[in-house]
Amino acid sequence: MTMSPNDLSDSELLNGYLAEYLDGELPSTIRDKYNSLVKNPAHAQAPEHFQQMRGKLQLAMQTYYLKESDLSELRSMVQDPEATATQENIKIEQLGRKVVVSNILRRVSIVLVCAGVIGYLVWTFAPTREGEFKALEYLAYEAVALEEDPQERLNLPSSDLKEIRQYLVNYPGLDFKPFVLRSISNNWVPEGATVINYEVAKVTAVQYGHNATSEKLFHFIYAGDLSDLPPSAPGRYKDLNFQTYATDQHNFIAWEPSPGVVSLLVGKRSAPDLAEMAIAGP
Amino acid sequence: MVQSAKNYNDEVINFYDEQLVPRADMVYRFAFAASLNLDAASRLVRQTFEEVAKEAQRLEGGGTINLDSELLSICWRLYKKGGTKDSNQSKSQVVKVLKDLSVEERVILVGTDVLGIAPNDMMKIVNVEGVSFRRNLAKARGTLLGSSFEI
Repeated sequence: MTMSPNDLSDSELLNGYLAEYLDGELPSTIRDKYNSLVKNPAHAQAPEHFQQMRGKLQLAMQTYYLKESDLSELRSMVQDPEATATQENIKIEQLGRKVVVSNILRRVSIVLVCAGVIGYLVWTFAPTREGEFKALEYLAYEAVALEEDPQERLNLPSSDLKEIRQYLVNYPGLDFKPFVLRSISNNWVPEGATVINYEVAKVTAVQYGHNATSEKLFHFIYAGDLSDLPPSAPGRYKDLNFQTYATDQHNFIAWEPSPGVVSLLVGKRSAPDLAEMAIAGP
Repeated sequence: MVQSAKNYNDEVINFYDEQLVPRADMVYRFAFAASLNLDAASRLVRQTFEEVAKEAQRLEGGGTINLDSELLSICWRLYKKGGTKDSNQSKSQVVKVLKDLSVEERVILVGTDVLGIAPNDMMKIVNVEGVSFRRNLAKARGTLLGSSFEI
C-alpha cells in the first residue's frame, strides 16, 4: 500500500500511524512528515499517551471471554461421528431421565392431591365416630349439674320407675334400647330422668336419691363401646365386668350391658358398691 | 444444539480443536466491538463457528491461510448480513469509549490495536481501502486518546 502524506490531514496521519511509529515501521513515504509532526510540542506526548491508552483498552477487552460451556458447544460442532453419537445418546438419556422423573413427580403429585381431597371429604362429611364423645368428661359435669339443680335439668321429674322407663323407651331417636335399674335397693328412690342430647350422642340419665341422706346416684346410658373410654384397671363383681374412674366428687363404673351400649353408674359410693347396685340390673 | 452428523477425519478435528477454537475469544471481542452487546457477540461467535465448521476441511488443508483473518472476515460478513441485532448495549467502560464511533471505526480500532491484526489484513476483513482505513483508525484512536478511559 502506498500512502502519500497529502492523503490525510496532520491529525489523521499522526493518529493513524501511531502504532507503526512506536514499532519503528513507518512507511518511508510518510516518515519525514510524521517525524516532524511528533517533534511538534503539541504532539510530543501523543505516542506515549497512545501506548498507555491502548494498553488499557487491551486489558479491558481481555475481560471479555467465552464461558467453558460456550467453548464446548463450539467444539461439539466438529467431532468424530462416534463422539457425536455418544453425546447425542447422553443427551437422549438425560432427556429420558428427565421424562421419567417428571412422570414420577406428576403421578406422586396426583396421588397426593387425590389423597388430600379424599382426606378432606372424609374429615368433612364422614359421620362423627362415637369415640369422639368424651363420655367421662361430659357426664362428670352432668352429674355435678344434676346434683346441684335437678329440677331444672330433669325433663321428667318422677319417682315412678315404670313411668321413667316408659319415657326413656319411647324417647325418639335413641340408637340403643334404654333400661332402668329397678332393684337397686329400697333406700334408693328414683327422682326423675332426662335425655341429654349432645351433637355426637344422646345419653339417657336417671337420677336416684337416697331416702335417708341427700346422696344422689346417676345412671347414664349411651350408644358406644367401652373401649372408647380411657383405659383403666378392670373390675369384676359376680358376672359384671366393669371399668372404674373417679373425679374429686364422684366415682364411676362403666360396663357394657349389651354390645354397642355403654352404661355408667356415678355416685359417691365405692366402685364395688356401685357394681353391686349395677348388677341389680334392668 | 445437536448437529447433523458429518464425518471429519482426525486431522481436521485436531486442527479445529487446536487452531480454531482457541481463537474464539478473539472473535468474541471483535463481535463485541461490532455489536456492543454480549449476547449478540455470543451469537455471532456461534454463527461464525457454524460457518467455520463447514469449511474446516478447506482451512486445515490451506497451509498459508491467515486463520485470524478468516475467522474475523466470516464474523464481519455475518454481522453485516444482519443476522444478529441487539439494541441493548452493554454499559461497560469499553462501551463508553466505543459507542460514539461508527461500527467500522470500532472494529478497526479493536482489530488493529487490541487483537493485533495487521492493518493490511484488517483492511481486507472490513473491506475498507487504505486512506479510509487510516481515517477510521485515526478517528477511533483520537476518541480513545481524548477519553478518560480507565479500567
